[in-house]
Formats: sequence, structure tokens, C-alpha cells
Amino acid sequence: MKDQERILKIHARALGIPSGSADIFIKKSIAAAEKSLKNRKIITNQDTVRAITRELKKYHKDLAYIYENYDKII
Amino acid sequence: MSVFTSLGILLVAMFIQGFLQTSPAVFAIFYHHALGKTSAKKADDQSLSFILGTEFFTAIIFLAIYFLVAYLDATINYNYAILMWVMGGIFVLEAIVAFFFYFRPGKKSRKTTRLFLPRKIAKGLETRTGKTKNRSDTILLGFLTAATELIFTLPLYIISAIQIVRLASRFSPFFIIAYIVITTLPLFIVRILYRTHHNLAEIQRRRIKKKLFFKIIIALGFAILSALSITTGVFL
Repeated sequence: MKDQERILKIHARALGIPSGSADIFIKKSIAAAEKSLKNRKIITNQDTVRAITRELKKYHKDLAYIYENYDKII
Repeated sequence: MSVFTSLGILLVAMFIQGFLQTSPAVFAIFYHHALGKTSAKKADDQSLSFILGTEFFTAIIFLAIYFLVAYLDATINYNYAILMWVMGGIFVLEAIVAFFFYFRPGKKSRKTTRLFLPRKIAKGLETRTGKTKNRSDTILLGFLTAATELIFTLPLYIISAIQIVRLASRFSPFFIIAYIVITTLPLFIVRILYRTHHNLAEIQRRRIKKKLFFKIIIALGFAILSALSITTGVFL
């Protein structure tokens, strides 16, 4: 999840989100995603992306959109 | 062959290449990454290096083809009509391929703008956009990005070079420079979008919205080019 946090921080900075608030909601989203995936036996990368995206949407729609669609642009 | 047909072919070729999506897509991701890692000023500066890289590739390939065509035109007595028929056939094929496969078909790619590129190459480009650190890296990325689209751009370079050689005008250098600059205009548009505070999410949403439009324009462009080439072959 540390890697996800690093990637999200880069996206947040690129979107011009103030770093203080970005740090807070990224951490909150990752924590909530981890919690929602806790009971799963097998967790794929897609599950992680989906769970984090779901949480991120509550705070910043553009950031969630980029995080979800980053590998679907080219 | 009329001068107007040649100019028409040149214009349509530029127009098609301007609508191709690989360079703008990679450039948009690159700019986004640069903004996320460096200051806006540095990202803006690096973006110019990317554009320079794509222009550099276009210039090298275009000039190489131009001089080859000029050399062959002067030394070999080839049948121009048959050449135009062959080019027309290639463009028909390109039109079909562009319409059905330019954007990946299938359920998985419906709400994406995944391109025809093999996934390994696409992934490679995506990874490189995040790893470029200096100007030379960025120029190389622009260069490589332009190279990945050769399957669609090579016939366009060939037909344009043939037309410029055939026109045998003192404006040839102007045509070549215009071709290189006009085909990179979409990159400047993406750059302006970023500079006017648009972001990757907005750009990507717009690209998804216009996906069908791009597909039709590119395929139609190739079809028009094919018609123009075949007509030139017939009425020569």
C-alpha cells in the first residue's frame, strides 16, 4: 500500500490538490480500503485499485478517476 | 496530375496524422507526471523537449523518405500510376484497420482509449513517462512515441514525400517544415490545455467522449486519401 500512497501523492500534486489535505484523505482512503479488504483470502491488484477508488471518490473525483483509469489511456 | 490534387493529398495526410492519438495520449500522461514530480515551470519546459523529440523523429523519417523518393525519381523510370494504385490500396487497408482496430475493440476497452499498440509497448511507454528525469530522456520519449505509430504514419510520409517531389517546387522546404509542425499541433493543444489549468482527468474524459469521432475522422481521412491516390493513378 505504500507504493499506492506514493503514486496517489504524485497524482494529487499533478492535479494541484494542496499537499496537506491530499495527505490526509489519501491516508484515510487507503486505511478504509485496507479495512474493506481485510476479510478477503485472495486480494488482486484490481481489488486494491477498486477499493481505493471507491474511497477516493468521496474526497476527490478527478483523483479517483485518474487512479482508476491511468493504465487505460494508451 | 494537377497541383491541387497533390496539395489535397498533402493536406489530408497532415490532417490524418494530426488526429492520430498515440503522441497526444503519451504526452498528456507525461505532462501529468511531470507536474506531479516537479514545478509547473519545469514541467512546461520538459514538455517542449517531448514535442522536440516527436518533431525530430518526424523530421528524420520524413527527410529520409523524401531524399530516397527524390533519388529514385531521378534515377529509375518507374510507373507512377501503378505506384499510386498501390498507395491507394494501402490506404484502403489503413482505413479499415483504423476504423476497427485503432482503438482496441472488445468489452474491456469500451470505456477506455486503449490503442492498437501491443500491450507491452503501451505499458513500456507508460512506465517511461514516469521515469523521465532530464531533457534527453524526454526527447527520447517523444522520439519513441512517434516511432510506435509508424504503422499508420509511414504510408503518410511516403505519399507526402512523393507529392512534394512531384510538385518539384521551390516551396518544398516550406512543405516539409509545414508537415512537421502541423502534425505536432495536437501536442501544443494538450500543452495549452494544461497551461490553462485543465487536468489529465478532464482531457481523458474528453478523449473517451470523442473516441468514435476520432475513429471516423481517421478512417475517413484514409479513405479520402485512397480515393485521391487511385484517381491520380487513373487520370494520369
